[in-house]
Amino acid sequence: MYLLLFHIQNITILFWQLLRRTFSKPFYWRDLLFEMDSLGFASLPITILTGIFLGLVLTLQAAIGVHKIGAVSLVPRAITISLIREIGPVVGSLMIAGRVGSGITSQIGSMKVTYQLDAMRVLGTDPLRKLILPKFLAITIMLPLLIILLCFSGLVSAYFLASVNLNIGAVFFWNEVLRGIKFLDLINNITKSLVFGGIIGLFGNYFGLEVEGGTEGVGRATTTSVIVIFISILAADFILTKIFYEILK
Amino acid sequence: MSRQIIIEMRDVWFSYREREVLKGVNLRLYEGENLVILGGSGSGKSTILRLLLGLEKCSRGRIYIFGKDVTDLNEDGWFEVRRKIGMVFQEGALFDYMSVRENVGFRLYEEGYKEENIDRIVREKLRIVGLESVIDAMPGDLSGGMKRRVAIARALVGEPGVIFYDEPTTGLDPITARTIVRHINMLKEQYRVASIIVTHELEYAFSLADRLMMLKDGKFIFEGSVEDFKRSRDPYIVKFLGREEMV
Repeated sequence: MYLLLFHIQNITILFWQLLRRTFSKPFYWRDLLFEMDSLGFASLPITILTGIFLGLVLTLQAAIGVHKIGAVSLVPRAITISLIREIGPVVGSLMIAGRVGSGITSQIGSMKVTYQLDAMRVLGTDPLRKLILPKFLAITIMLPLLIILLCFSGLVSAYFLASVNLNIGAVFFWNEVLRGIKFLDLINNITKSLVFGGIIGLFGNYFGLEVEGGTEGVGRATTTSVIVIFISILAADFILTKIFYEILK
Repeated sequence: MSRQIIIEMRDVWFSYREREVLKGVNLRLYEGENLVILGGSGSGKSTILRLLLGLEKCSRGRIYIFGKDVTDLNEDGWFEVRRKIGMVFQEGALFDYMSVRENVGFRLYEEGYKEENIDRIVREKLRIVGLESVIDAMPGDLSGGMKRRVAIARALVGEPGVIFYDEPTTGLDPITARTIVRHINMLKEQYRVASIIVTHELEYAFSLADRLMMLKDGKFIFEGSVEDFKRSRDPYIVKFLGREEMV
């Protein structure tokens, strides 16, 4: 319990330090763009693939459910709602957290145990500004964009399967998709992605900075980081879903 | 004529996780001298350097650098102090995602120097350590000895008055280690750069030291010349010397 409170306190302090540095100079724009590329654009293949398979599975699941009652026309809307409100942001974030969160922890952890972070401080540069903040902001900004792309690729794959297996036409499918998307669903999607992105960036960096005990410590911290990020995303998803549920009720 | 003190620690104590690492350490570094701190693993040698760089805060005592009391400085204050100090970490601590040019010129890039000036200064510092040819290499392509020489070049960029070396020869073969020793001595003789060198390797310590200090269990048990050290009858020092001779 004491250890948990200790980590919560340190994570809160780190978040506050990053927030302060976001709105003060110097700000490392080039490093931010570099991280947006390496954490964001480099995650495109995993994002699109996840979206495609989610779309295919959701279509089959929806088809099984509605086939018995002869309501195949509900399939596009059911897929749209589940993909945009819940499955897209959560599964997408978990997939990307596996890649990005572990990457951030292992990179920062390795730099710590090889004294690179100390070297940076000695050379007069604040590692929180130069290394940590760009990574935190990059994944927070890029995750919503990636999740939107994931949802879109999921809908495209769902359309192809629905048209082949359920004989649903393109016009009908996409009309139903557009009717299924509510403004609040988009807000829900983007809010969740932003929060999940923040969790990945904050926790990934935090566990990297906490590494002790050489390369073995880096491996341990990376595993812990991924587990904590996964659980935190699911916990945050529950809280956010409850909030949106109260709004939509 | 009395020599000028550039670094001083007065009765410095430091504890880490309730363990007393340093217990009332006193240290003086004079301009242009090589001070070697000897000690076994976990004796607190590297902690002294970390305290002198503001990477750790002492629990008691005062630290003076270039005459200024730096004990209670915040991180912004330390950034100013560190500009006058060079540091060569164990195994170099080069930024592994940057080229040698970017590593050596890191401080200059951060301070907004023009590219041509950075190139000139970086080449000049690399030339001092005999590594101008690897300017575009990545740290992963360099040997252990080359990494440390690049780290020395990086430490020289700010034209520091003092350089700290943390185990500069550990893990290197004897030929490469002697090259590093030669470079450290050359910096003292040609550029009047003072150094604090932390090591546990006696052979190189003797080649480097103008003055030696021996740390044991967080306290200095010896301070003096290499000759005095060799003649010391302190049981720990005798054991330290004997073990090395057997090796």
